[in-house]
Amino acid sequence: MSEGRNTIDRDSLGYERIILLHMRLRRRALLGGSAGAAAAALLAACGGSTAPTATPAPSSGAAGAPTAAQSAATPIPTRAPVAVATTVSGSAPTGTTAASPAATSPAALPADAAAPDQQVYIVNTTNEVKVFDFWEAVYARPTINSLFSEPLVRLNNDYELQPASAESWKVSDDGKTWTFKIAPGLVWNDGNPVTADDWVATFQYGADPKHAWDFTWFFQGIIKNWDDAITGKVPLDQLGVKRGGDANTLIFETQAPSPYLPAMLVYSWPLSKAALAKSGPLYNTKPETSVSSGPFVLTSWQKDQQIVFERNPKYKGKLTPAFTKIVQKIADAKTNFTAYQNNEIDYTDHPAPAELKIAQGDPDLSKQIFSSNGDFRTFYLFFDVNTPPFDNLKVRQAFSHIVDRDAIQKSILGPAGTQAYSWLAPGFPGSQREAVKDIQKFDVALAKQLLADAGFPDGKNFPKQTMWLRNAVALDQAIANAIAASIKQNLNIDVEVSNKDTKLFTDSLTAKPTKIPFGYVSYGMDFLDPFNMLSVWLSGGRHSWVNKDFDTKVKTAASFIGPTDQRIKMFQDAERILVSDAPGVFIYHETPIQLIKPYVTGPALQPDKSGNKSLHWPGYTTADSSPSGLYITKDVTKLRKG
Amino acid sequence: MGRYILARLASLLFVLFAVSLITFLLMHTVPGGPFDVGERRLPEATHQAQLRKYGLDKPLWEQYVRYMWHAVHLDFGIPFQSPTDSVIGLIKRAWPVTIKIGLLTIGISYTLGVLLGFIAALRQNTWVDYLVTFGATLGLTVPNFVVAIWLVLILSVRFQLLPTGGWGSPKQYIMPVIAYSLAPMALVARYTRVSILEVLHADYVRTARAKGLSERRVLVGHVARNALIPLVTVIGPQIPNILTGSIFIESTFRIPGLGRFFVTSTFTRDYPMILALVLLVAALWGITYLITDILYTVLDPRIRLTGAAVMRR
Repeated sequence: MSEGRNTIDRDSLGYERIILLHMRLRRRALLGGSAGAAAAALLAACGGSTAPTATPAPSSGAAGAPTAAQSAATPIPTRAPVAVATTVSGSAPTGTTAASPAATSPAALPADAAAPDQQVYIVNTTNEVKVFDFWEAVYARPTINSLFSEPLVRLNNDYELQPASAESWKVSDDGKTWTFKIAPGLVWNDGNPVTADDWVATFQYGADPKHAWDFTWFFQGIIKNWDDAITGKVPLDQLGVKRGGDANTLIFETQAPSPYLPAMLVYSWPLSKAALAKSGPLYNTKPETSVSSGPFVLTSWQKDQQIVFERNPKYKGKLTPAFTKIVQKIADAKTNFTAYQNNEIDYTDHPAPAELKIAQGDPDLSKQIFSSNGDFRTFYLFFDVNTPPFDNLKVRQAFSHIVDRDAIQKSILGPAGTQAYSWLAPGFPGSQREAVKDIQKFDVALAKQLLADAGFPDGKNFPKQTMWLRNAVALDQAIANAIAASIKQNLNIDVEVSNKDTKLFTDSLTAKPTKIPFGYVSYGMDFLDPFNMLSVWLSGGRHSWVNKDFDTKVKTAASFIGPTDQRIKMFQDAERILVSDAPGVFIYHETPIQLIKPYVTGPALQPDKSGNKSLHWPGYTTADSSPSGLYITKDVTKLRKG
Repeated sequence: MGRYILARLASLLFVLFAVSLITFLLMHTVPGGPFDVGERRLPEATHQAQLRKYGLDKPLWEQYVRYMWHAVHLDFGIPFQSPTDSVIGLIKRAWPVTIKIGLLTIGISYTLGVLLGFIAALRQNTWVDYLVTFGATLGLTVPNFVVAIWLVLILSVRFQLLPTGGWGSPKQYIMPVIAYSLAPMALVARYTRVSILEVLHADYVRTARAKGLSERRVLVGHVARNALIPLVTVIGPQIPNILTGSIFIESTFRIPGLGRFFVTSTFTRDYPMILALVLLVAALWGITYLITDILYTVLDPRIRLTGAAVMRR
């Protein structure tokens, strides 16, 4: 609080002036010190106008994957890890070479691995940690989370679905009833078995209007009775998540055929029904009440300092973690890079542009840079298509043709991103980057022509615009400014770039009608199906764009239970409409930089099917195979402090 | 004196009430709410349910009355940023950390500041004076977060002598206290110097010397005591600033203190925390000014604290 309040004249003062000042200050004192308090109140109230300089990394799993996007020249074969609509039998997770002995005994470590007491993984986590559970608050968990239970399914290093808590699953002929068989023998460390009832209780908690979960939209329109349960219209026990014939059978009923349901259920870490009843929904925030069926337990949480997880000796699942302990230091994201340089942490991501330059110029650090897929995030400009001048398609198209993506990639992004010409990032199911590349291509002459056709020759009479940014980091501010400069230079339209804090931005964006005519923002996927990314643009969603044709195509494809390639084709047709009608101009797909110490290694850091190497989304959690695929080598002693 | 203090405390209560009302209204006029966080629009039912859960669906006046009713009973609510704490619990946990750093800062910066200012004044227009003046100008003009980053880059990254941050071991106090002390030390040094210089040439100092007092008694009994009065005016108001911490220092050095909450509470629209912190600062300022005023009477017997007299000043 001390910054910016020092208004005292810094010149040498004569004694008289000091006395005068003294009198003035005393008068202020008599007003009850209200000047300072008012300043504080004002600060509290005016926080909305500018944003702090750094944003924490997107909170759903800070780890991402290297991108195929790097090698943009070779189109990446698209895979749909969804639609595994047949029965899948249980198999060992992921290609870890670290063998998988009986899960109850510690994993056999490779020859170059450090001793078990040195298998400690240390990272920084954002200081916005409130809770540990997905079902409590999705956007307020530490960087490493979701290790206290296992979802029904998880992803391997190639983003393919694998059995986790479920050993198999099948779907009914109408595509609306899914039956999951839960692996027998899984236990909570309080001694209770893991059963279908735990999932039923968990989903009921998520839908409970009294809880008002921050992620209720996720299952909206998908799970039977979810929409009515969250409004309180039907009781929670009517929810389409039920126990089957026995304790190990779990049934999901969906509103429409939902071939992507298993992909969504990567997010299905169960809470313990017994612990929920006994200690309430925050049970995992205290070691005394925390209950785990996952490979780790909560050992300590020193608020604002650090969080420690240790191995769960009672874990019966299939993961074979080498780490014995995970330490998360709670820190401002701005300090991550120096802590990494000083060998205090093993991993960091999203370095600022200047930090990336330092890393690239350093002989050691440069070998520790990984370019990941992150959450297949796309950054884009968007318009309010219902108000002039952006209700005119030609205006939107003109804007879409003045973005020199190659220059932005080369001079600003470097390894942190790749050119976007459409919505679905390379490597994401359904991506058709090459096929739609020309629709929004960089073409200044065409842009000028379109603007003239729209009635604004050389930008004449075009109203000055403000480009809204959502708490953008330095990198995105630079990109936004480059685009604004290009609009001015090529279209002769004034654009002011204005960085807003997240809440003001979100509130204005989702207002009906929206209060943002023109902005720059991003979206990263929640699950690996084109439906998830494309649903952002459905009518009534994030933006004001309404296109019936697009809506129909996306919704039809979403519940299509025929051949996968046919389904993907339908999504691609919809995406083509999106790119052509230009409610958004697509700028770049983020390939977030990860820095990983050389002593952290393992199969999880081997190249995946599309050849990229990095920690993949969703990071070190039971929803991913990486806990079986990472270990610390003996080299740790050379670098690590303390 | 007792009556005067009571009157001042009563007026402070009124100020706190006014501050709470103004802050409450201001924070609710800012767009956005504590729950606009996700990437997607929440179903309207969930949004309404969230407002209900935290009592934000009620009319503003009712929210305010409820808040004040609980506040009077010392229940300041649950911070939205930390649902596993209470506001009081969070402040109890974080403020002592900030106070530790703050007291060290005050101790070091004020002692060194007064000492340097004194030396500079006694050696006026010598190289010692110029050095102190130059250093003080630098200390005042370079923001503490720049100093903090320099310290990390030099002491941690370059020479690997100290951890970049954290809390718990004495080593971890060094950089934050240095970074935090420079500005107040510089301020105190400059004021001390000027103030001493003025007093050194005062008639009563000449008189003291003329009546044959030792130089030491002149400096301590006459010069220092009189020079302190304007200093108290300058130093006093710095104390609540320092004791409420700095987000820059705390976030740069990973100190689990209170300073950052002044900023994060605003950005996260953490209404209970905003109100509690503003009230805390207001109370702290009120008390500091009261103490400052009492100190004057100790330092200068000519100053009398009677309500009416002070009001006229």
